[in-house]
Amino acid sequence: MNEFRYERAVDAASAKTLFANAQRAKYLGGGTNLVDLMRENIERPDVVVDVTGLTQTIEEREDGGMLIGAATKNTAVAAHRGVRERFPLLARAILSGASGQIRNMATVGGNILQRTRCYYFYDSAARCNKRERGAGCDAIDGFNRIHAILGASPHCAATHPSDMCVALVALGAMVHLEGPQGAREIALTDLHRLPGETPDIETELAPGELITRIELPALPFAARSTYRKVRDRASYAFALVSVAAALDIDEERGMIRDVRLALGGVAPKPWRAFRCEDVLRGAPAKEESFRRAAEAELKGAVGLTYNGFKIELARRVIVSTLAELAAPEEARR
Amino acid sequence: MSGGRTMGAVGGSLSRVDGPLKVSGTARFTAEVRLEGLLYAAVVCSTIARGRIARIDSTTAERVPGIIAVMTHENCPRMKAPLAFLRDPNGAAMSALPVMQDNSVRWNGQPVAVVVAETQEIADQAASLVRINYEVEQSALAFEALLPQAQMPKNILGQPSLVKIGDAEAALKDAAIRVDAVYRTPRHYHNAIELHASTAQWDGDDSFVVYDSSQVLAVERTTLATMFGLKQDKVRVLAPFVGGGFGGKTLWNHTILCIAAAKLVKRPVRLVLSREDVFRVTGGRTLSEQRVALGAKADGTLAALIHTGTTAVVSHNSFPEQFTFPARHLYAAKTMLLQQKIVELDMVANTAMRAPGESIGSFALESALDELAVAGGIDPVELRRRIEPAKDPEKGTEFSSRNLVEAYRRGAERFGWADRRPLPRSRRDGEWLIGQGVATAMYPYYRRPGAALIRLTGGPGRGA
Amino acid sequence: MRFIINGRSYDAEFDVRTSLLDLLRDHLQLSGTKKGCDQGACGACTVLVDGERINSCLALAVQYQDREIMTIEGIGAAHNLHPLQAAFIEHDGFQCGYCTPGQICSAIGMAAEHKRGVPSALTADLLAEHIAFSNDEIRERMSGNLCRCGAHNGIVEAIGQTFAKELGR
Repeated sequence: MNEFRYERAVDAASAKTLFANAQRAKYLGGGTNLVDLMRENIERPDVVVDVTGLTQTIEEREDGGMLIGAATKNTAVAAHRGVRERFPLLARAILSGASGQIRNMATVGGNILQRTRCYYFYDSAARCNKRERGAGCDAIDGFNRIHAILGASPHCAATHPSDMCVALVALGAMVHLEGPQGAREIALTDLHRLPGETPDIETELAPGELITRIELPALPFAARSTYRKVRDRASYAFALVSVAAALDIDEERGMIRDVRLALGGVAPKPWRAFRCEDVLRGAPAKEESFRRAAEAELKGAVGLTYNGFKIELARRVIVSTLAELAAPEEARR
Repeated sequence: MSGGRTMGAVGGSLSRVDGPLKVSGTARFTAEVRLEGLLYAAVVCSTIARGRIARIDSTTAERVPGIIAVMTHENCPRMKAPLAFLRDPNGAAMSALPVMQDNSVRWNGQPVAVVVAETQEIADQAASLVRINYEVEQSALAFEALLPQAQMPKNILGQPSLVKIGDAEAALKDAAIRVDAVYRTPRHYHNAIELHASTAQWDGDDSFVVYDSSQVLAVERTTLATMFGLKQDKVRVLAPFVGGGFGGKTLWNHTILCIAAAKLVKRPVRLVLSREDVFRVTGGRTLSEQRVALGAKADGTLAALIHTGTTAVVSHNSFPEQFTFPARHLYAAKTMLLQQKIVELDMVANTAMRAPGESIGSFALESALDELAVAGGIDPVELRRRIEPAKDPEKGTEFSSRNLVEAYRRGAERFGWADRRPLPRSRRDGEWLIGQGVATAMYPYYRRPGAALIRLTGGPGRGA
Repeated sequence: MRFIINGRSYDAEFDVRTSLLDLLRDHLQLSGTKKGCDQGACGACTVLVDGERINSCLALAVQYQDREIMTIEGIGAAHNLHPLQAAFIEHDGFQCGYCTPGQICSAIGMAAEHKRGVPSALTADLLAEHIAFSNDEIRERMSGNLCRCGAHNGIVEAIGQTFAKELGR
């Protein structure tokens, strides 16, 4: 780890100032990703601006939406009664991620900006276009079991590892930013970029822009939602494939009125399954619809040497998760 | 305990005597030893598998404030080659290669420099600033590609690499029931939670003590004394508490380099491997590709038992991983072919790990036996009962005692074997498929000369 | 910089890169907390901060000034064991003992989370008034603490027994 100066921000304004006064600053949340990356010499900031003192409140709005401070710890979000009631998929997604200790340390903002766990990204002796544009990618022909089947490019197939973000994009979360040019909002699903030819640029954030809050628009039917995570271990492991889904069913007619669905473990960004949702809206709440929808979303999926299994796995997890949500209340436990 | 009466501690139930120390965090492990003037080390590991170090540029590293020294093959104290485990009766090292005595690189991960500094943070940072140019040579890395060139080692732990009784391949061909399959096992790593660590302190030039997370103290002392050209009684190896070993904590390069660095800088040095470097500097269990072929009569008795295969080793150790050993002793067969081969790769030396040999060999043998039971429509427990040998299958010697059949019988009773449904996938519990199987595990009991010293103290009413 | 550890105040000067773990072990001679991976994967470094369990290896010490930190040394001493420590001995919840301090601190933090009503990935009903303190829940909640010696059954028993009354088993 290189030497750096540590600064602690008391609010967004001071955070931006401290950031701007440095050559190569980074915002620091719980440190569960950044400290690790600094230790590996992948991140080398000269100034670290601690933003854990910023807003940690969770505000329930009357219309049913929520505003969550970016410095709120993951555990606090998952444990919050309002989140559990209105957005259970979010609570479940967070609880399925990392370990109890890490959930206690990690902030919402840091979770969003965490970087890939691709082995070659982490190995300074390996070629990685994300660490060094144009260097090459050793994952494409390497051990790529955990890599992307959607959204990858010939230059990078790294996945975004967050569970929380998968639920958030399913919910259409908006990210509130404050930067040198002022405040703005961006949909979370637009915040992360696909690698294309520039895998080194991972987000649409301008230098110095700080995430201050996450906004969850009201979504009444999100009360009927869940998060399914498939992984090699029963706990404390990243997703091979995960699904966040919310379902609004017209029980009388057995038709899907509305749906939200997103995939994790399969793409360089948390993957909102728009194609899947389009097929499902207005379709019968039956397995045949779920299959067609999964098919539509995975049509462009491409497997590498070791991760092709994810395509069929994603298909099955989508279908199974939707079936679970579509089952009558009593059966759903 | 049947039939025993307790005598003091013997025969009774005791809690671990080191329990209070461990649960209160006061048991002192290797990297927790406090020494005056202690320095911290970090290793730099090679990123090529085979070749030579052409140039080491440590100028930037040396300029970091707090750096004491950068040790490379250019300034490392001279040492004799390590005494290797199994090659030498006093060998504790898993590799016979000289340590940092020349510019040769023999595996990706080999320590090529050690940085010593006032703090761990400075040592780690400086280590990342050491620049090395290599002359890359061709390396043997691909196990699969090299299989055709595999050779039999001279012996497997003193036992023959080849056991041939009758013509097993011919008997296999004519057998009523046959299974013939390839079983592959991957590399395994011990990953003891305590990182490999050493803390070394010299007393002048002819004596040192090393605190080491080690499982092999006596031979480690002898090996180290030999390497540094010292009398045995001038070397002490201390390991009161070891945070897991599982076979992985014998003598590896980091310990040797820690002692060498302490000699170089004339101050005590602590070297703790990072979790990543544990995979580079220390080895794990080799991978294997095994073939088990069983030919049986209709009643399951074996006409042929074939267990062959190949593991990956290095040219500078002797650890072939004795996977054919269970087959030598467990089951009766009219003909047998047991053979082990090795392929030499340019990798970190493989080593013993939790039931070396028998564990991965059992996987292959017992799986094949299961397949045979299915092929022949015979209950797997009954099958093993029928192939129980009267004498040792390999050598024909008598067993001093053997209760395997009784163990099967009791196990079947206790585990409700009679209620088992033999057809795979026939039993469900919600989203779970439930199955029940059986396998035999064997582990050898090696006897060596031993001694114990008992000192009785005290007069009447005291001591024992 | 000032730190409050096990109720005692410490003043320390050190490299800002120092983790809370290394501060404890190398600077303050509190080596009960262990380093198993230095990357948050094993949990051997678990300590309590304001009653919450964290991985001290990923914590920059500088971020934890003036917080109330509790380490294994503060949980109980060899001659004056916390009930959970005694239970670990009684149920043989360890062999080598290296993961043990982290297991114990983590379990205490975990019990507090459970008491607060924090659900886990296994909790079927997110809105239940009372979450069962079953062995499955314990295992899921303790998944951030690895044990290579395989003492898990003893660990789960020790934790289950110690907090049975408090958490309604």
